[in-house]
Amino acid sequence: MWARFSAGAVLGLPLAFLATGLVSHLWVAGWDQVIVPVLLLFMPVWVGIMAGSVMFRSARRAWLILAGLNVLTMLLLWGARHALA
Amino acid sequence: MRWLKVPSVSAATLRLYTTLHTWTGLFAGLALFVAFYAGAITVFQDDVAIWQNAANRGSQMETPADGQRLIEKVIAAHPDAKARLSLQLPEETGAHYVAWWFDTAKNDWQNATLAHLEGSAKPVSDLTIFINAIHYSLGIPVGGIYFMGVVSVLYGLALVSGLLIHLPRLSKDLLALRAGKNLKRLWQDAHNLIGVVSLPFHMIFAITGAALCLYGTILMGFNSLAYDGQLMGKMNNALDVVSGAPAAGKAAAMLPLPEILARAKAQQPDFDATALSLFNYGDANAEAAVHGNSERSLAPYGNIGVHLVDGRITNTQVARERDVNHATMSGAYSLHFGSFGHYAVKWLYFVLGLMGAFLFYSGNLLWIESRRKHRAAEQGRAPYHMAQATVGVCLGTCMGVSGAFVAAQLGAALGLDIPVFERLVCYSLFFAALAISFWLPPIVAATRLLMATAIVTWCVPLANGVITGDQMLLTPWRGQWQVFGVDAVATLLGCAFMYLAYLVRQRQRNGQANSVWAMQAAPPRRVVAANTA
Repeated sequence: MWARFSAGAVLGLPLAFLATGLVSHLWVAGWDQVIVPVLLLFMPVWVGIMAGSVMFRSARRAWLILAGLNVLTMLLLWGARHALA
Repeated sequence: MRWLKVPSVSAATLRLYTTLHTWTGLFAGLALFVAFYAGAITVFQDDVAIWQNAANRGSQMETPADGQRLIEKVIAAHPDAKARLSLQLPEETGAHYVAWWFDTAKNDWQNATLAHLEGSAKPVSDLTIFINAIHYSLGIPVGGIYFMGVVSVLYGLALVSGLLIHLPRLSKDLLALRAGKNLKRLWQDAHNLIGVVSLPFHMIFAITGAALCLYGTILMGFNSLAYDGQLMGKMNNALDVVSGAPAAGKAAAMLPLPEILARAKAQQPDFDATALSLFNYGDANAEAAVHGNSERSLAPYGNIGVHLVDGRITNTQVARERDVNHATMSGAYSLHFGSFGHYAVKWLYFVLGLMGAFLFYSGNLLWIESRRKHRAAEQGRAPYHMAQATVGVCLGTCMGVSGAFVAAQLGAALGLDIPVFERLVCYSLFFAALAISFWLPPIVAATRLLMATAIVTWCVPLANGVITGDQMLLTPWRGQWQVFGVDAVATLLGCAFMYLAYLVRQRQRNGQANSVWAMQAAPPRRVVAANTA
């Protein structure tokens, strides 16, 4: 269980920044209009990922899927920033 | 059929989340007890601020003209204050204008009033600041706030996992409080009931607590991962109402304080200023941010920007008239500090805060209780020491906080350095309680520490009455309700501690055997190889 949880804690941290950051980049009025809501959203998202990560079937899966999600969100974020800028 | 397997999966899931709940609770529980106990008292910091310093009581409220004189004197004596000078208004402090600035040579914040221009000469009580520091950093000056940030995250995990464990029985057990032979059941019911009923309250503190403690760290994470280094440049606009323009290097005449306040009032008639920040005072680019509260708003905190040379309003971020960032920040403030409904909300926060402290305390008791061996007098070492730690930390905190209140009055009477004396008394009582709890059997330590805490807490109104003369039989007649309120709450808390001491004594006499609470000495360290032959 703790191996899966560590995956959530370690990889969930950047994922929470990236995922909430992505949402703010999709905000029509501009990301700088929703800085404070995004700051507050970060912690529940990270906690959600950590709590959810113990449900993975194995630690290996947890690390792989969360790493994949990090890469995917990073690409989406990069796309959103350049396409919507 | 697949759906038949669901209950077994969910039993495994329950075990996972029980483990998560147990460990996050073990790491964060005692720190959260301290934070909630000190936080419940910090809710009433405006009242404590009047109580802590007899000079604040009944003195005439200073006028904006006095405030202007203070600004000029501080600026003349401390050029450092020109860049940024903050001013608390009498509406916030109770009587005086208090100026704050950062002294670069001393590398510390300094403050002054008209009566004490060199504020550090004879320091007055800073009880509210100290109790608040215990609340957000356990009183640990270096790193304490980051530690509490991590605790907030663990707290969030404990809330989620606790709710998930309880979910299957939620509707059935919600209001159950089964008093009976099975004590664990009663504690469990109480823990669950308070956890579920005050869940929204706890979610507020987990989220805003983490954001307030880890603010800088979270900003750095966002700045580098999501905003390509552009976040810091946008923060001023998101949080403040001044432009942040650097000094022009050209002297200019400043709008006087009464005029600044009048401009803000004219802009927003139902906005009451409580504090000001002045930037680049005396310069052509000087600006002020007027901080205060709007009437009839659930997120009352707001700011108005005023240019200090031409007096124009540069930005208005107050209730009903603000952007998403300022509205969310104000909402988070009012939810965390309970500042959205005067005394009714303060009392609610006080009660919920103490209930929160109970939640963490009962969590530890449950941990001990579920490791209890019902058929052996001798219990495990870990539950025994956990019982000692719980008693020592929880009661040490209560006693230390009460001791700081007594020290505020005693220090003034004896002419001591009051802030140092407050901390000395608080920490001494805390560590003494911790030492006693690890020296005596848990039940004996609990009884004695509860009695001691009751006595120290009763000394709060006693010290105030004897030293300042504003005793509890007089203050209501003079309309000093804030002073009376602090004394009255301390008296009631003292009674509550004494009643708890009585209950613990009853448990010692008549309680069930075969528990760490029935033991007279720590269980011996077990030698594993002893019985192999």
